[in-house]
Amino acid sequence: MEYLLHGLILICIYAILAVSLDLIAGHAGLLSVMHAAFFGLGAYTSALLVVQLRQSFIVSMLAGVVVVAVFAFIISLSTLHLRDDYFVISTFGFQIIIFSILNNWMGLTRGPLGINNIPPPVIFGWTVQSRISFLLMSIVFAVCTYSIINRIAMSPFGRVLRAIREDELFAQSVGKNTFKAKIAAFVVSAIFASVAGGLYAHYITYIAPGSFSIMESILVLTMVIIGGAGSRWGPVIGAVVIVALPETLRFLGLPDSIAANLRQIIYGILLVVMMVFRRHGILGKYSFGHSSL
Amino acid sequence: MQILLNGLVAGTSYALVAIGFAISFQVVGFFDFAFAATLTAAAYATWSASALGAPPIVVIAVGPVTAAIVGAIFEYVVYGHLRRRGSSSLVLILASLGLMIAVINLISLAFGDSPRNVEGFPYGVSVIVFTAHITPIQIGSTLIFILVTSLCLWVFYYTRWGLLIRVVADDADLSRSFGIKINQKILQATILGSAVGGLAASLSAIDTGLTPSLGFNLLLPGVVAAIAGNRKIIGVALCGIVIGIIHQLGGWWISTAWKDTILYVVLIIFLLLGSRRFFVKKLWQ
Repeated sequence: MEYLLHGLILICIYAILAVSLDLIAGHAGLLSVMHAAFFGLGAYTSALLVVQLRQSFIVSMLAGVVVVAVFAFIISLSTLHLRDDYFVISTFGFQIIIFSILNNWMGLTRGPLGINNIPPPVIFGWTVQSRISFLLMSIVFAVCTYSIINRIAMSPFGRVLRAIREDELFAQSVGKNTFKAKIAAFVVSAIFASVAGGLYAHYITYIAPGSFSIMESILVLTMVIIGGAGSRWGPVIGAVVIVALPETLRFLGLPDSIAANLRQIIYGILLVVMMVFRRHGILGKYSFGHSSL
Repeated sequence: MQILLNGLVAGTSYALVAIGFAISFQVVGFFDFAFAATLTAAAYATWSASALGAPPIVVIAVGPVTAAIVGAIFEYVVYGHLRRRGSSSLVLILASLGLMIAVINLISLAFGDSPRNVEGFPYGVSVIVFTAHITPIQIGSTLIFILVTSLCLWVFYYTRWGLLIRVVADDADLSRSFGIKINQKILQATILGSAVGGLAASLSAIDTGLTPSLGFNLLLPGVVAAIAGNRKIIGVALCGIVIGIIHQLGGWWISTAWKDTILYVVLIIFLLLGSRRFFVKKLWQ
């Protein structure tokens, strides 16, 4: 039962990540591979404020949101004028830079040693101690994230994002400020990644840079692709599939060292297979465009 | 002086990777992340050959041959298929990410994550050049870099094949209308590019050892050298060397722990500046 609750909590956290990434990747067509960097920044900000400055859970989460929003805004100013491949590469580079900072700034983050003894969340006097109560809290956060992102996607702003995805030049020609729209979407997406980071830190109670590497970013992107980019439930389905997959490997009784590599191999193959056979994912309507070649 | 020399030698590896990447990139037209897997496969093939007791020339040659085969398989089985279906560069990038993860983890599963060294080469000896130490392996790598770069320049600017590759890179549709077999040329360029990159990975593995992340660590500096050099072989080679020097100097000035971070910051700057120039050039064409 505890194991099932653990799985469900992870599904909620990764669903927040996938749904938020879908706003820019699925709706705006901006393939970002630095979502784990924002996830990590949110986790570390929240953890540091709670552990070192004894701040409350709510204050630490809000601080994480602010920090990540600032980072996302600054990064977006330099990367969002780039197109396609160059945007992907630039987010790739920023992901690695942020990971390097988390891994090497010993004085602040304790580098590879990570931050431990992160206390459970306390919300208005209620200590979220047990797994079931953490699951309830995670569900609330996940539902809120889904509702907000879905509302944004269905709004006129969401239509602008999809117009950018389909034909940015046309969107500009009809008077839409596409650059501002992309920045807004990028920052909103990053904010929810930081919320997921804060939840993750307080649930696992120990964080280290390895949890927020480029592989994690590609994993979240894989969730979006598999579930279906630009769809309502696709990223959630993708999160369920990807989180549940390692558990099916456990039934094979493989040692952890082999299982870790095998999991990554399966993720990689799934990504290739989806691109070849079902580009729009399980539930998606949007498949990344076609070239004239 | 030692730092500068170390940077020059590291830069030759980055430059070779960049040349290999640029050769393939100019015809395939997307950032192939799976190039990192190709480089890693080459490095481990080199190690395997040395573990089996092969002579040094075979140990070095196995790397580029393996890389060429792996690159050809990726192109023929995955990218060529996607391209024929009219897939955009984003689809190809996603497929390359999947291939990179799958293949590198396959190599990690097969060989483990522990660092390995290539045997059978003269380690522990060095010569002194202007007060700096350089090993025979590093001298050999530098000479091979000069030879391969010269060869690539000759192939691309003085042979018919090179002319056809440049024509396809410039305008694939027009090339096709003149009867040039695009897919064949893309495959050939991929094989050559992979072989050059694989050679760099082999030499790097022989010099400093290898882990499954070797390909990844060589790829990003190589990619940005390719962008900064505007995909011209001489420019790419020079940018690779400059990046190598910056990498070493960064570690010396600040800290070795921050060496990679400094490099990636410089890479982002090169990337943002390089892509602006690339896009300006594209507008004028």
